[in-house]
Parts: sequence; structure tokens; C-alpha cells
Amino acid sequence: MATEQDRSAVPSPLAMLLAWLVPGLGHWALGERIRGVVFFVVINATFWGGVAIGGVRTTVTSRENGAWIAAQLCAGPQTLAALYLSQKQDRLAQAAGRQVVKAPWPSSSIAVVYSGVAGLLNLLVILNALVLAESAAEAAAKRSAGRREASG
Amino acid sequence: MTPHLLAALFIDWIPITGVGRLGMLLPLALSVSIVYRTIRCERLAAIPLASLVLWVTIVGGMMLIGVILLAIFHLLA
Repeated sequence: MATEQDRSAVPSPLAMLLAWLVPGLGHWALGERIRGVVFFVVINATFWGGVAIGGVRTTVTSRENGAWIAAQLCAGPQTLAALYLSQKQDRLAQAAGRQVVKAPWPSSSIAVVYSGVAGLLNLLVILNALVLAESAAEAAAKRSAGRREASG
Repeated sequence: MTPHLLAALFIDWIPITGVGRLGMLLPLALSVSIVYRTIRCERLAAIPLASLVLWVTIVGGMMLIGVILLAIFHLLA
């Protein structure tokens, strides 16, 4: 892990926002490039793996999966894209006058758990980006205080 | 991969039956292990082995809980 001195100075809110926008981007911006790539690959693969198992209509829906949508939204705007695609499927089915085809159990449950867990993992990553950004800011403040003491 | 095939991948669902239901635990536990260990490990080189150990621990623990619950179910039946 890079030391506090090595990390880029990124404000904590920006680090958290970047980590939510694209999983791993917060760590990338903080200088933890390899960790950022690992988070990006693993969280996206888990989220879209879930969507592939259950189909977007069954997996990402704001009405039928209870609080799982909150967990899924932690995975970033890609959840909003999936939600848009899901609602588009509804509209297409209504326009064609046919029933929406939903995945049966267990595919439906496995899909929702996969995408929800991906979101919760990204929540951990967002909190870790916050901790790293805060520790880097503290180290920078100490360095500047030390320089002021040395020059004064 | 054509856009049509890619769209079908995320619109159609995949049937999962038999041992595949249990097998779906493995990649999910692997994702959790990798992310957790990537956060916790100081050294990048330690991540693969630590993730593997955690993955085996999670899967083994879940299997053990499953066996215990199955035994209790048979005892009560």
C-alpha cells in the first residue's frame, strides 16, 4: 500500500464521489492504481454477472426487490443505466401487448444477490477511499506544519 | 460480439438447476474475498494468497453450516 506521503491529495468528498461514479476510480485518483483496477474488475464483473444471470428486468427493479435496489445503487450510475433498461423492457412489453417475462427462482434470487453484493462491496470501497483520502490529507497537513516550524 | 448478442446476454435470463445452485456460491465468495483482502492487505503481493485462503474459509464455513443444518433437519424429521 502506498504511504500517506505517496498518495495524491484528493479531497475526501471527491474521492468518495469518484469511487461511487466508477468502482475503483477513487483509489486510482489517490494513487492506488492496482487496487483501483482490481476493484473495477471485480465489482463490475459481479454486478453485470448478476444482471446476466437474471436478466435486467428481473434483477434491477425499483418495486419488486425491496431494499436490494438501495444496495445495487451503491454500485454507481451503472445501476441507473440498468434500471433504465429494465423500465424500457416494461414499456416495450406493454406496447406490444404481451406480459413481461421474468426469471424464475433460483435465477432471480441469485441475480439480485449478486448485483446487491456488488453494490455493498463498492460501499466498502467508497468508505476505504474516504479513509485513505483523510489520512493523506492529515499527512500533508503535518508536512506543511513541519516545514513552517523549520523555516520559522 | 454483436450488439444484438450483447443485449440478449443482459435481457434473457440463464436457467440454473441442480448443483449449479450451490456452485453459484463460489464466484460470489471469490468476489467478496478479493475485495476484502485488497482493502486489508498492506502489500499487493500478499493479496492473491490471502484472498484464496479467505475464499476457502468462506466456502468451507458455508458448507459446514449447510451440513449441520441438514443433520438437524434429519434429526427433527
